[in-house]
Amino acid sequence: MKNIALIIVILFYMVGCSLKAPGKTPDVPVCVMPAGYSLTEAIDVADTALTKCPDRMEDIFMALVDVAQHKPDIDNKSLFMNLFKRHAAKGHISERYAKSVIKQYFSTSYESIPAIKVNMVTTEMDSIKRDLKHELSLKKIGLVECCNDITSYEKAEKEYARILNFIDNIVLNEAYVKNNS
Amino acid sequence: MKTTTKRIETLVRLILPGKAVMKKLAKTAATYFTGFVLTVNPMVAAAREIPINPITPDVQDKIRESYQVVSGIEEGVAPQFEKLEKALKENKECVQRPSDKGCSAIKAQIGESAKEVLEQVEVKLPEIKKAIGSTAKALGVSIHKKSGLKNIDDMYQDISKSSALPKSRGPLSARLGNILSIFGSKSNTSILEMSLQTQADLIAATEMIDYLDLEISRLKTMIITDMDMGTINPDMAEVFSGVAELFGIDFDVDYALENATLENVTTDEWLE
Repeated sequence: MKNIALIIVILFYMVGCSLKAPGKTPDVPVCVMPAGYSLTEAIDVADTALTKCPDRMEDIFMALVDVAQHKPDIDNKSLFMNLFKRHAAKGHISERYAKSVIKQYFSTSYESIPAIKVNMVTTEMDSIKRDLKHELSLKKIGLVECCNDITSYEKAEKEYARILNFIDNIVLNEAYVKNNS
Repeated sequence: MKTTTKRIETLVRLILPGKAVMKKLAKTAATYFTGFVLTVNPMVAAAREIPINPITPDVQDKIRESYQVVSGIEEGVAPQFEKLEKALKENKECVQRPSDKGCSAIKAQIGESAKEVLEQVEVKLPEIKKAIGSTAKALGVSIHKKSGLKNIDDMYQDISKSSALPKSRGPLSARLGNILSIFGSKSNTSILEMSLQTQADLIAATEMIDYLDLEISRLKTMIITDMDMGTINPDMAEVFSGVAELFGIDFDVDYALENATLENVTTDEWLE
């Protein structure tokens, strides 16, 4: 009986040892997202957020877009660009990714033209066109809704039509050559 | 850059054949070597920027030949179209007076002019079909050969540096003339973009020529049978519209059709 009691005591002791005492949870950075009606002030918040949580770059960017949409202005474009350039230079965010986001929203040229060979265009045509159309919709958000830059958006629309025509003509010729060879 | 890397990679693979490790080594060596070559030798870097030019001397000759054939036909057919359009306009007055003697003459004139247009085109069809077909084939193959292994993003980057093609580019002869004149001028137009657009125009022209080839004799018979009606039905209007479009002739097809509809419904003076 004594032995059994001893075993139980030892078991309790062992279990007790294996349980960790509740310690402190590791620090999770608090990322305050930019908000409000002033992009300049929101950029200050985004500065801190990008330093603390660079992996949330996309959320931060979208939060800034929300703010910029309240008061679209052509100067907003440089506010966005300077913020991302600063953080890319500091190594907080990937320069390539930041450039790509900025280009998709604020440039009249297109990021979505894939690096594929001409002989692959026919099979990829639908997805290329879909991506280009999506990028044009992002440019509308960036250029028109955030920056009120109608002139640049119209240029982006013309560029879109030019790329589509270029792709259509490639596909047309590829089919013609195939059928007439 | 990508193409140069690929070429060097292939070269290194030839020297170091076999096994995956060797292939990986070849790829790495090619990447570094390309970087070195492009940095050290600016001539190589500049060479990759040469825009694609599918207009080889042979293609240029074919385009010139098509240009001459098409402009010749345009000049020949235009007066017949003018006659047809004039007769159709005069016929407008006849809608209210279908049994008028003068109107009967005008109706006969419409049928005669329409027949003349079709006959003129029919005679020239084999010649134009041959010229346009061979130009489209030569240009198409040249574009395919010169661009087949290129990436479209690189190609478009080159194109976007040039000014865009104008929306309205005139009749086929003018389009062919434009691509011929690009070489002698300091044009800021991309040769590749213009070649692709000209090729699209040529393909559309070959489709129209095939359609005319099929329809022209049927329409001629129809006109001869209905000569006294002096009307343009929708089938005829479509063919005349195609011919006018192909040869850049200003022909008001809607007007012709509108007339045809009026003619068809106004058959009895008592019902007016």
